[in-house]
Amino acid sequence: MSPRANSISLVFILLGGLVLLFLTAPLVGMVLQSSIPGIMAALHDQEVRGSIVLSLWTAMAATFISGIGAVPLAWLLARKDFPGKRVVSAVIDLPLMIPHSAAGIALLTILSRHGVLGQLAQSAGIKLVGGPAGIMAAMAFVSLPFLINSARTGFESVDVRLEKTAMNLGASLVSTFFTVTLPLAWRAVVSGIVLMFGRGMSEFGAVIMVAYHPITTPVLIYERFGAYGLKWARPVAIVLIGVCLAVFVLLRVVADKRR
Amino acid sequence: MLQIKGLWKRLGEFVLGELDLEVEPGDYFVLLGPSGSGKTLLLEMIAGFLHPDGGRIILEERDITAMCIQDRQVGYLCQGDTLFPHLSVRGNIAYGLRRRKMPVGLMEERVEEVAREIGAFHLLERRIEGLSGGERQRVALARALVMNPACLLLDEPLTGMDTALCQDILMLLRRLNRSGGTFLHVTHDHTEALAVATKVAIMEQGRIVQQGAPMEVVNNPRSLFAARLAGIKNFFPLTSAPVEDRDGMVQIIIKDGLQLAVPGSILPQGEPPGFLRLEERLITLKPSGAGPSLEGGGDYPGTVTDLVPQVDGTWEVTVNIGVPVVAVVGPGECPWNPGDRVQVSWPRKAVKVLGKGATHQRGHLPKNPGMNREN
Repeated sequence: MSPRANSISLVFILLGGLVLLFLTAPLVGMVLQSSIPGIMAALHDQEVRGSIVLSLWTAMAATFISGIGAVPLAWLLARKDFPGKRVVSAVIDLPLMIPHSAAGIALLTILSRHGVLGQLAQSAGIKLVGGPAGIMAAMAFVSLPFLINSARTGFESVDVRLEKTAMNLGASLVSTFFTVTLPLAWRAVVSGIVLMFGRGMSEFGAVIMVAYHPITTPVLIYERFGAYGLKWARPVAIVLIGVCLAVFVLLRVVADKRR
Repeated sequence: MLQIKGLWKRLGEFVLGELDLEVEPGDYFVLLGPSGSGKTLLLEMIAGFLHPDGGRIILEERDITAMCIQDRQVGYLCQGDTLFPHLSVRGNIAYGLRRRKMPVGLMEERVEEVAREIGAFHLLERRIEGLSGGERQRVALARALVMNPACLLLDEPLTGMDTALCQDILMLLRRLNRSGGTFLHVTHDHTEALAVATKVAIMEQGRIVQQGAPMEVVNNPRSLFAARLAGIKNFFPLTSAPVEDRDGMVQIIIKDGLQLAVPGSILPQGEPPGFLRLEERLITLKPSGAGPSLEGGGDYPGTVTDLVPQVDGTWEVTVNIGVPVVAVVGPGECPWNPGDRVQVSWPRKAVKVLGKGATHQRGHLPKNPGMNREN
């Protein structure tokens, strides 16, 4: 390698290193400044436990329920041309662009008892605002783009000739999807699920607008910080990060075993 | 029998057809044409992935034009690697039988029978990622043949393979054809076509410009494209009708006004003359001013413009005599260099005048006597 190329590589490594430092320093600092007894206390705190369980199951439910529609939509976007496709793509990316507190306000307008969905849910005996269903809606709203876009990329990477071959060999469109397309796009779909779940579980802005209670862990961290300060909020934050990492690793391991 | 009747399709500016084809049982029909001529489009319509704007596709007396893909009984080998990478070789070959819900015992029996026939039995438990190009193509063929298709469509099946591998697969395809398989194979490679075909059609810009027995098409090309595909170097369109001369000779004019005297007896019967062909192996080169040759075809002064060595030790020498004419010299050392002034001569038997054929017709195909099956 020429000296010039060497120096360019060195500059890139330095710049990249700074970014990595910026990403890891706050997390490492937070862990270092916390005490083990503090973290253990947080783990035994019923409110923290309850919030983590709530965050976990609502994020999982939001991911899987909305995935039922999101994965087929991703396939449609990857495989079909239709009028307004660009608009649909832009709409899917919209939650990434708007502030999440604004997204929460927008959701409130349809989920509250004066909103269309709120009225429908109320007549079915489901409480949206201030209930787990509302939390799931807020989580799904802000995190769906991750699943749809990742799955779409996965489906696009499957050679369309493989699907044609499957159909030529007698497979229906549905059978082709489940026996060829999905197994080959599986990794990207799982990545999307992991991203959506992680993003949903850590959502604060939209969730707090729709449901302060029952309390999810990000809202609890905010509450502890506001009421007691950094020292009390930090152990809860560490526990949440630990749980997120554990779920992330678990999903990856499961996905790797399936390949 | 696969019959294509008046099939056409418009895709943007491109129009395919109208096409008429007949692939009889046991035929190895090769559709020869350059990229973009519509070959794959035709196969996709036969397989059911595209719907034609007009015309009919009939397979074994069933009109399959509007039939769904799964019910057509047409095997289709897409261009490139189309094995399912997440399945084993056995899983790939059994894929279609599983969709038919064939009992497991029968399915295994059928898979192993076809794998043996194709020479892929030893690969059955292998994963796809470890297979070579030739092995992959064998497995793809087995996967298509296991379904017992009435006709197998092959889209450039030798793309990306080296020469030795191509010979292997061609040999396999010939053997499968001899044992009763009916194939419609599309390619841009004339050597590939000649190696397997019992019938050939030349496709150009969405139309079939010529069809017949392979050697007939090679020896009597009806378009510049067909001549190029057949590897013919000296093929010239006539720019005007022949003019009668004395002693039974006629004067013909080829591109750039070059005039040649040929016997009237070699003009095609029943169709207007369209092209002149000079057999390059019969052309001789002499030093400039060597005097008239006794061969009676013609003597023309020219300048050597290019030399291309051939694998058999000969040289293709291009001489500009008003038009570029290629002569085959050797084998051995080539006595000419670019820029040399030479005299180009050929005997009468080197000259052929061919009819215009179907080149300028649109939507109608010639009823070619050479379409009878030859095996």
